[in-house]
Amino acid sequence: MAYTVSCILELTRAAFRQEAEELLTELDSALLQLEVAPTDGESLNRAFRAMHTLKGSGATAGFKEVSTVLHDVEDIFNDARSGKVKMSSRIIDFVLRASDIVRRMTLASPDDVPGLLIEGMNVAGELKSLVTRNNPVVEVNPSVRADRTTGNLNGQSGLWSIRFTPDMRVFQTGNDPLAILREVLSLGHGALQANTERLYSQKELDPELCYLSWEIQLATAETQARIRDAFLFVEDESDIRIEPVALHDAWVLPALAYFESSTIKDFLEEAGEDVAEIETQVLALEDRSTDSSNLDGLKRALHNLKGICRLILSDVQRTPPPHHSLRAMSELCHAAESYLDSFTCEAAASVKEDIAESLIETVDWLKSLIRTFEVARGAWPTELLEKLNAQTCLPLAPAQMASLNSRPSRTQLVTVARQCDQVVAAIHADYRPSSPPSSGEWKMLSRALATLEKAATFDGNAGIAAQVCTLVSICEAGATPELESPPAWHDFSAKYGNMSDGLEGQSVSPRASTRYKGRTISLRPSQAAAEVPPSKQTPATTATVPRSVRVDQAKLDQMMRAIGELLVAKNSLPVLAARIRTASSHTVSKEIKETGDRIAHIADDLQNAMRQIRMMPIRSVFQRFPRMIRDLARSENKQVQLIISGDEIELDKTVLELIGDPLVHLVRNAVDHGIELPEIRLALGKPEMGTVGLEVVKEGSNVVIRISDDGRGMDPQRLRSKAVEKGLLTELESAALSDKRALDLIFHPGFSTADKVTDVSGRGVGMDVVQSNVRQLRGTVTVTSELQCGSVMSIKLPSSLMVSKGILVQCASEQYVLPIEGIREMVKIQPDQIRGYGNLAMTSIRGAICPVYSLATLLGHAAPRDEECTQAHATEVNAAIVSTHRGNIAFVVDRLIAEIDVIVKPLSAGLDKLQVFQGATILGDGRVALIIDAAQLDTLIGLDRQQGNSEDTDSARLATG
Amino acid sequence: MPRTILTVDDSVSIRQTVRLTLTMAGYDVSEADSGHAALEACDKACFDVVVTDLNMPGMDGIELIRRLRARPQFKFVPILMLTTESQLDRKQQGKSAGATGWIVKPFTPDQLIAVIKKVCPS
Repeated sequence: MAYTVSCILELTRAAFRQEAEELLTELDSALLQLEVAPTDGESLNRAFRAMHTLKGSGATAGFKEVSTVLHDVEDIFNDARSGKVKMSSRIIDFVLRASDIVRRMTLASPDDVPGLLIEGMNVAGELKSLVTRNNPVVEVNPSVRADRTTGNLNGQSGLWSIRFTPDMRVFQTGNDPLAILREVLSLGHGALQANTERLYSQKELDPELCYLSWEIQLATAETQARIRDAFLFVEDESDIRIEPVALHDAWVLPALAYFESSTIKDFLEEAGEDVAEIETQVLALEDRSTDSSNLDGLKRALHNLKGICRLILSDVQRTPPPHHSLRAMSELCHAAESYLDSFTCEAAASVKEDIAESLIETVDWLKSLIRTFEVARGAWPTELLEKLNAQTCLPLAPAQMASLNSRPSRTQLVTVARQCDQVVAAIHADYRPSSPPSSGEWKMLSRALATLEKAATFDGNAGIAAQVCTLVSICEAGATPELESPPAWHDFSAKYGNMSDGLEGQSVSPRASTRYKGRTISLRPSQAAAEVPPSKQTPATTATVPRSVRVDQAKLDQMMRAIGELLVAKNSLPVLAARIRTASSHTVSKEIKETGDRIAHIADDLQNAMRQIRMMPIRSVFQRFPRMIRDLARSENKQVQLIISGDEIELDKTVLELIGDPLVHLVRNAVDHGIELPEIRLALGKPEMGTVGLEVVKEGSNVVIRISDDGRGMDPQRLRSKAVEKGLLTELESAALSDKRALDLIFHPGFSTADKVTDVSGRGVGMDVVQSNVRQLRGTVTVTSELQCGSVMSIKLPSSLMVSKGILVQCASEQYVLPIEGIREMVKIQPDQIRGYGNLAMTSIRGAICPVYSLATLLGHAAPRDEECTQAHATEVNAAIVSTHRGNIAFVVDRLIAEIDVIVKPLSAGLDKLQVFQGATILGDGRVALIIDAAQLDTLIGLDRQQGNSEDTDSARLATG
Repeated sequence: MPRTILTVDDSVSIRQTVRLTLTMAGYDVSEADSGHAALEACDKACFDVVVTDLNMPGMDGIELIRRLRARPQFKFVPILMLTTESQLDRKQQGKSAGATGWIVKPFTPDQLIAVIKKVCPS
């Protein structure tokens, strides 16, 4: 470890310098706020937190002097928080001095530190005596004190450093440090380091003495008092220090993992659900008449989200990254909640559109905050918060103001400038030429400006800093009462105004939106993304949050049991192997078969359990649609209601992930092109409000999603003419298409790229993409439509992707798998039922004419083409009837082998261009068989077609009958 | 093997409470009604924990603790004293005599078990 210690220490020191600057600015800003409102609890907390963090991190980073100076100051603030000490201008004076000293300490060379320490101790001492003078000492019972520390946010910081140096004679009272350490570790996740310094500094060792001391870093939800309780019996004689640790100072990896993995991930998941719930509620609010249960539900959801944000916030109080988003989210929820609270039910009903607008903006922000959760210093919803607060019809409460200010620094310049604005405005309001500002007011102003100067310097904004510096000197002159001619107020305010304008020019004005502020004070590129207002973010920015599944314990148990059984069943294999040598092959074969059956049974169980785990209700995908429909309808001045049914049906997680985009596409089309404008609908005698339906039903092992609308429907005739116009079909071909088949034209890739499909049918934008996505999931899309009555798109999906059934067939020398979903039926065709038409073979399946192809030939296995329809089918043949765009086609195979379970493995890159194969699978004997995508088989016929154009037209006509 | 505990108290009811509570928690509990009886019991056996009252006729708890600590086999054995809130100075005396910790009377069974577990994790 030795080779890195110094290096780590140097890095820590550098990090601390940076952190200290931020914390000190935060401290100063809180102090200024306190000066205006001495009893503001939030400012007190902010000041205390900043100090406490400085102390803790300082000590860790080797700036022990910092914590020494701040120690007493912090105590005073702690007392102030419990109301024992009253904040006053004088106290704030001293604390600001202490803060300056600390600032100098962090930047000073090591030689200067002792001098600064003495200076700091003096300030702290004066401060302490000042406070004791003003506030007679109250004897603080240690236990009360401990409780007080645990009562605040900081006291609950989830990560603790516990240093335990027992009295050397600890063993002689029968106490066992090891038991104590174990008890501490049992409170959470933690790790232990022993300090052997005392051991090695001894010349002689007494075996009955304890020379070791320990540091534990512990991540726990327990309070400090509970941790301390472990040391109850040794407290008096031992040196025990329990302090919060910042995550980046933590060497305890298990604890880190604890935070990063479970807590945060769970939080993100839960927050996402909450936001979805809020969104649903908002939309419901807008759509239906407002009743109290609805408002209450909304408030509950907001409250819940706020609650979990704060919980995590208190847990990882000083972790920079989530801090920002968490704070922003909790503020937003809070503001939205108060906003809602300010309405009675009746009042809400009258302005429900406004409410919905504001809340939808809130939802957008919440979503973007969750998305950019790990961004340490992203955008802050200042405008929205202000809007919500303004609409709450109450002035911005100090606490909210303060929390606005407590957002991570670097935006502090703006915050501080805003505070200065407030002070100047306050003084200006009281200003009369007859009563110039008092020296006290000048002083307050000078202090505010001094902070602004620091902030500007920290920000690297030298110009502003210089201007502020001159202003400060004016204020200082004003603050000196003995001075004959105090500076004129209008002089100052003019200069201040100039400076403000200067700030504005650099777009860091306090009045300018802080949301865009990062552009001038940008830290890293990732910020840029966070600053785009949510509404403008492209849908492509998906969350980078690792995906996880929440699993019901019972399902896991079921799996575990099956695995246990599998392990037992496996044991019988070596036994069988041994028995083969002795027993007759017949009995052994029987035993093997039995074992195989048992294993097969377990495998089925396992597969079921696994499938269960991967299933999720389709609701999670549907959640976005109410909002989408609302937005779409609004932008097109249509009235649309969405009716969802069957959204509790479960689908495989992967399917759900992939089906989202196609569904969006179809639903959008339904509103966009299906539903007519209200006037038109009325003229047609339809209800003004259009209806889009999302219906999910189970059909065997498949799930069917139907997207229906009662709009204008599609006109097959226009589709036909469009297809001819596009050169996709000849007149003759198009005329031959049935209406139903004409509708299928919308899936044709060439069709979808048509310039303006709207005037044809409204459908077809990217329908081929929809189809290919669905096909990837081994599903199918079908369309039915009736002119003026509406359209229905049906997506049929297998409910699970993992395993499917297929038919293993022999073609020439190879075995292929035909997935069972793609096959309409398997038939035996007598040779005399196959007729040749030129190059083509046709047969009749239950009265419908159906072309016959040899699968082997299509797949390129050598089979003389001219013999295909004459000689090859001398005997009865097996054929798979497959539905394609061209209607049913019979594919003749050489032999049916078996129906098998297959796991579809994707083809490796390069091979995946072969559309006709959807993957490969491993057969029982270890051979690999390609899985044919039945729906794609017609592309092979297409290849044929190009070779023989003359028969082609015939084939189309005949095929479509 | 269950951990053994010796409870020393002149009050039958306290001894019984301690015995029942700790027996229920899986410990093997012996009783002694005075300091002398306790020392005798400790001649015959060693215990994992000793719980003693402070105010007892004859030899008081502090003296008992001091004598037990003087015995090599009891040098590191946890010895808990039963005190009341008003006996803070006695608690200090007990500690200097070598007591490991204390249980404040009145106590609930849960509290007693928690303290025993603290000094004698099972």
